[in-house]
Amino acid sequence: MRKNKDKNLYKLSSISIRFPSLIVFKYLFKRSLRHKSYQLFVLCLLISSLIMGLIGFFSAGVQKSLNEDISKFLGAPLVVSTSLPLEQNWWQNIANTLKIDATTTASFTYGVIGKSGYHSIGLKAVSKNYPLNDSIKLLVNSPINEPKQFLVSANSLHSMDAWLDKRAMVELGLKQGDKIQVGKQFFNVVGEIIFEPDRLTQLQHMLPRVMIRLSDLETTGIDIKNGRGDFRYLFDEEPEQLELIESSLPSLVNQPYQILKANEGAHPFSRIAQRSEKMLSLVMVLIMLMCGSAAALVADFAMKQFVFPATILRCLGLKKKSITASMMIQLSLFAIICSVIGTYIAWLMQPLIGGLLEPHLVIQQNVFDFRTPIITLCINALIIIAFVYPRLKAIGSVPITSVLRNNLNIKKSLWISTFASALSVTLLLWYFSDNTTLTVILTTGVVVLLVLSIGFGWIISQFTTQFHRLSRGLLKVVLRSIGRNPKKNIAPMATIALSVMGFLMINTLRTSFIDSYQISSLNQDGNLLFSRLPSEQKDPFNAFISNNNLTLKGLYPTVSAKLESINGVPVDKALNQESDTREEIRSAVRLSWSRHLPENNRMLEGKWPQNAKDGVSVESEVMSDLGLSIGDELTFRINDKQFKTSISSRREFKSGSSRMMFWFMFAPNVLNQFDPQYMGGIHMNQAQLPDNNTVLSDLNVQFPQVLFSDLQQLVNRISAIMQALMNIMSAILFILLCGAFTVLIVSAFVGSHDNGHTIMRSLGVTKTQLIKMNVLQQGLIGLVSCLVGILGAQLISGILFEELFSIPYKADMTQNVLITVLTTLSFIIFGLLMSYNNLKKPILINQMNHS
Amino acid sequence: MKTILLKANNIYKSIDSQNGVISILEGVNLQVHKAESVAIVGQSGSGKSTLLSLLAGLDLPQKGEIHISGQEISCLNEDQRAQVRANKTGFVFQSFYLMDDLTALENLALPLELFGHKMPEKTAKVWLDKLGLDHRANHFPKQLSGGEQQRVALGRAFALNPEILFADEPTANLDVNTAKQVVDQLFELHKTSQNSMILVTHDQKLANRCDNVYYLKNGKLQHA
Repeated sequence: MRKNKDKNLYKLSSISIRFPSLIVFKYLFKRSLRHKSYQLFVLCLLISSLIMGLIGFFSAGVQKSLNEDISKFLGAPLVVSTSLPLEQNWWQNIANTLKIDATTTASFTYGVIGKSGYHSIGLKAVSKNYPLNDSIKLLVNSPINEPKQFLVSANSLHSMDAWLDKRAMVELGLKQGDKIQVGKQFFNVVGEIIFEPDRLTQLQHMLPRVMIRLSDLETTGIDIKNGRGDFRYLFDEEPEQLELIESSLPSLVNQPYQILKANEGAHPFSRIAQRSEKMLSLVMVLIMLMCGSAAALVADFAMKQFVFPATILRCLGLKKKSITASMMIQLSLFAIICSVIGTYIAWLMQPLIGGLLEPHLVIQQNVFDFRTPIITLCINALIIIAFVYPRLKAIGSVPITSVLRNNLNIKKSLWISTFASALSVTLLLWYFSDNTTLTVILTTGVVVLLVLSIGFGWIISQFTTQFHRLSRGLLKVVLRSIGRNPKKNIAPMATIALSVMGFLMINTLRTSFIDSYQISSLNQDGNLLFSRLPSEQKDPFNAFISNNNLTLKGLYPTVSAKLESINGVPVDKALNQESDTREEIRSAVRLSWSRHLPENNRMLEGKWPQNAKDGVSVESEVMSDLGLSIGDELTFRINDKQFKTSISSRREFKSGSSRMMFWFMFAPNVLNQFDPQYMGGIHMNQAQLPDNNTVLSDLNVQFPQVLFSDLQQLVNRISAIMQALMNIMSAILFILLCGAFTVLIVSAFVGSHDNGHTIMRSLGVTKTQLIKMNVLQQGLIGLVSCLVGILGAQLISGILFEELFSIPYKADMTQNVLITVLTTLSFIIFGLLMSYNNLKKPILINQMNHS
Repeated sequence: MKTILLKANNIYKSIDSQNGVISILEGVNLQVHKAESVAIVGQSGSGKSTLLSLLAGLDLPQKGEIHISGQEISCLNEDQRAQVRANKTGFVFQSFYLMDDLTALENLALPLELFGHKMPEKTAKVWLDKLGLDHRANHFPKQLSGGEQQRVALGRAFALNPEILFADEPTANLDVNTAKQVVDQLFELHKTSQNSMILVTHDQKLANRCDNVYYLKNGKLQHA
């Protein structure tokens, strides 16, 4: 068996190859594969490709699933919303032309008469196929059997039948089989709605629900053109088809409309989807940076073993170019193989990982094609270009005599390749994250961290160099060893610091995310939102609030308007390509005014408007998306009248709560002429919450025009989604920790201290003393690296949280202490493992190896 | 009658290789007295360095006993043998084995520091003066010639005044003139300190300067 293997090797190596590079390739290829540090490097490339692939597939799958989940709350992936009904059947024409699924709903507040008298209800008329995503859960009484629950669509709703929710049944005093009068028409109550998918995204959802067929609406004689309805057109198809519909909307719809998608539009879930997208891309980028750093660190070890064979080949007359070229061929080959295999294994593992790590979300599977391993291949190629190539080049330049005299000091110039790779990483980051702010912040973060690492490395080397004079025995030897090798220590320190920073940032983001949302939502905005309160009812409404011991959380005057032109140029012509993301601004916006800058806003430029002449204060992101600047003139259409103003200040929203925020705000009373309506929030305590109180019914009766929205329900639902996201983050952190420990443990067995250990042991230093030295040295490096990482995390997180996620950042000291202790402990374990690896062999064999 | 400092009885050593078990030492016996110098010569691969490692307590024999100053070291564990090495032996290697990141002075002071000597650097300086390397005190090994490196190694080995010095081909990596200087210094130090010395070498001239010469052949040690 052995003989056959040798024979095959012989055959392989005896193939006649003329080109010098290929001869070197053949020689080094066989040699490299036998070397432990090179095997570790290849393993590291493979593991980092696997981790990057795994996290990439996982986060892409999670985002798709989350969008899918959120689009269920809209009833379809794409929804067009208007406050007035559009021309009949336009949506059906689109559906027929593009052969896609489409449906429509019309919801509005209406008074109906039930057994217990007149009540305000949320009437929803639905057409066939509604909802396109998810189903309505219906409870149907049976004369013979127990009531049964069914998952149905509007196709099951027959003409002159109506479905009611439990509140409508109770408040109207109805039961299944009774009749309800809507307008001139009577409907049979045939089912009780238990769940309606898009209810949380419609303001009318707080009112008792009555659902009828859209085709029956005309027979009721209700005038639906009074501007109080919410008309929705739902489309479901492949993303490309939906984009086609979106682009054709401006020519098809001749009145203000809003586009609602999972991650777009003015609905409460879009912000979560946008944030999760940012968060997952941030995680992906951090993982890429960490994997890249680990592989680069191991590459440094691996390349040292080529100094001797390369020198021997040079002695034999080969050019250094041939040696470098052959090694680059070899490494490129490995990079490609590792990227493809790593990504493919990750692809195979994705159903397993998805199921294990996030059982609550059905994670969508990704497709594997030739483009899939490109990201990992790019990262691996960058590692080789930036960290391996300069070393290979330097190996070829070491004087032969110096190597033969056992002097392996490789002088390498890494500046050009480091700069080139840093630039490439930044471009990759920008391309994949599609987020300039994220790219700028992270790049700055990495630069700051490197500066910190170098600074700390220098301080440590100075400190230890000075301090070792004062110390004695083992401590002196250890401190001197750290101080004498600043360059050797800075690389692992930077890697560890980067990993600690990444870990802390992901973990803090994970916990801050949900906390900040819940706290800001419920404390600042109350748990019941209201809108469409007419001016004349403002005082009675305030009186009702105080009489019922409720707390008013904000009262904002609003006017609905359409942005017509910018500096006299119609909006469609004035806006650039990027402004497509602000489709909703082009269709309908809410204008508001206030005496002072609202609490959750921060002024960036200009002053808060005090009178009509001061113009309008515009939100910063809207300004940049629409390409606006201070002094630009805006023309709005409000109630068939034109209103001209100019931009006087730029401000930003400080926190990402669901508190009401307005893109365009004016000085007090500027828009009074347009008959404003009011919106705001009410805080109800647990005892006053819906379903078990009469306060809400009284509100509905006294203020039938006002629409209420139960934020508590929303927050509960959002919290559930957030929790799923947090579980995913925990899972990613777990994978990351496993990966970090694997790299640490494996690299402990590479052993870079054999020589020193052998000398010390021959001088009579005991194993226990050597173990103490290793533990002390690694513990110190771990501790300092961790402190640098924590410092970096505090500096970067503050900026990142505020700028990217609008979450106020608060340092978690418990977490910092815990991570410091754990990292230092890990390094002590690393020191122990390294000692075990170095001390397990007898000194004689070590000596023979070195000789 | 001179005191026996080192005694090896019936030493056997073999190693496992890919091609099976290779027997290196087959019943080696040796006695070294106080202040005696012994040379072990033999062909390449005859097992000279292996024997030296066993005698110095760096490795353990498969069979047989080794006594240093009356203490049997072949039954001691690694840490106990390390203590014997620290207290009783010194070692000079063919490839010098200095610590790359320490200066000549620090390399010399290393064993003194590790084993609690009161003034390690001061003592190390005295040794450097003695070896004629005082002007090289702050140079790192890479900045020293082969001869200078080996002289620092000699100083390190003698710094703790060992009872027995083991030298593994101390001149193999040096040119003729430098080798002569190093050997002269080695024997001078041996004479001054009155310790025992076991030297492994190819060089017959060097071997002849020792009190006794042994040949290692086919795993057996024979007196010349």
